[in-house]
Amino acid sequence: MEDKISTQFLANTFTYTDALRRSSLLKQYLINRLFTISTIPLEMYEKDAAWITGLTPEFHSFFNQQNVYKLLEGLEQKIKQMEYVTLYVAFEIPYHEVIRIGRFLRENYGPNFLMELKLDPNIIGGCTLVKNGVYKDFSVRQKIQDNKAKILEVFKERLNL
Amino acid sequence: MMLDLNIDNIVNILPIIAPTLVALILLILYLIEHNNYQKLVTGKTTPSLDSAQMKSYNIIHQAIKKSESILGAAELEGVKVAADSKFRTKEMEEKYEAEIKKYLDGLKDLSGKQQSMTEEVLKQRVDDLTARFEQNLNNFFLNTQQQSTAAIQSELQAAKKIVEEYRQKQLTMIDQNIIDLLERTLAIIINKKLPLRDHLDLVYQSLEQAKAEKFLG
Repeated sequence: MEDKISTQFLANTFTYTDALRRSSLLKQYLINRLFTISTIPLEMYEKDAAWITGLTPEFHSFFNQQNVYKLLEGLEQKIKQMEYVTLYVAFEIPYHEVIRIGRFLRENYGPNFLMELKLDPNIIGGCTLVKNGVYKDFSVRQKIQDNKAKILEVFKERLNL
Repeated sequence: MMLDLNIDNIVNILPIIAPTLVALILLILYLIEHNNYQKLVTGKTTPSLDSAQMKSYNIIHQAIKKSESILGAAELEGVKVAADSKFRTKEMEEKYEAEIKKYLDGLKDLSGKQQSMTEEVLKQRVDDLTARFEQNLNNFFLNTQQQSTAAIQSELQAAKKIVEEYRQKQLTMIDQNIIDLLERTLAIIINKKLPLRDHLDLVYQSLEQAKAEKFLG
């Protein structure tokens, strides 16, 4: 059941930050719903609200007053233990494109693949990836460095040096 | 006895005759004086003694005449000899003078030749010295020129080397800086000018490359 919960939880959640945030939101949401503690709607991003609204009745059926804490604790632990890849990008990617990238990664690396997006304008374009402490640069900056000799040759040719 | 009176004989026998005559005269004079002394002493003379005396007087007279003629002849001969010797002396002087002149002329010629030879030798030496000096000077100038050229060449090469090193250093600096400049320029331009679609395409290209390299698994 935990696997089903995590699979459905991560179905439309692609980043690690979103996953952690949403697990906390889900906890508050479900506790409010199951225990009717507060009627004030939770403050959340639109995307998070859309995500909660998008949760299936089957997903909701997994939780009851007895197991909600345990299941959510387990879900949170699982998320925290999940490996994810950090993508350093040169610009802020809109959310819908984040979803596209997330789906691309899951198509290639598994249904529960998570990523983390960070901003680094110095890379100029493309992205650099970090996974399990291993860094690999696939950015435009690295391409310039890799083709430094050719670029210098072109410059020298043009400048007649 | 007549004496053979030529110059050589007179000259040869004169030293013999003259003392002989003098001795004879002295003898006769002694006899006379002795006779006179005897006369004085004894006051008497003897016939033999008188005849002897007369004979001695004759002998003396003859001797004196002879000696006078001899002396006259001797004087004549002496004059002749003197004149002859004077002539001979003059002749010899002239001859000697001529010989001396000849010798001096010879010496003069010799000294002239020696001088000209010396002059030639000196001239040759001076020419040699001048030629050697010229050669040495040429060599010196050549060496100096070569050394100067070599020094200038080495300085030039050192300067060229320094210039080349500087050029290389500057090119290296340009190489280093040009890439940084390119990166900064691209960072500014791409972030401002590149549309979202192109940015995303670059991201997907990077992800595809990561997939090809199996970086993510």
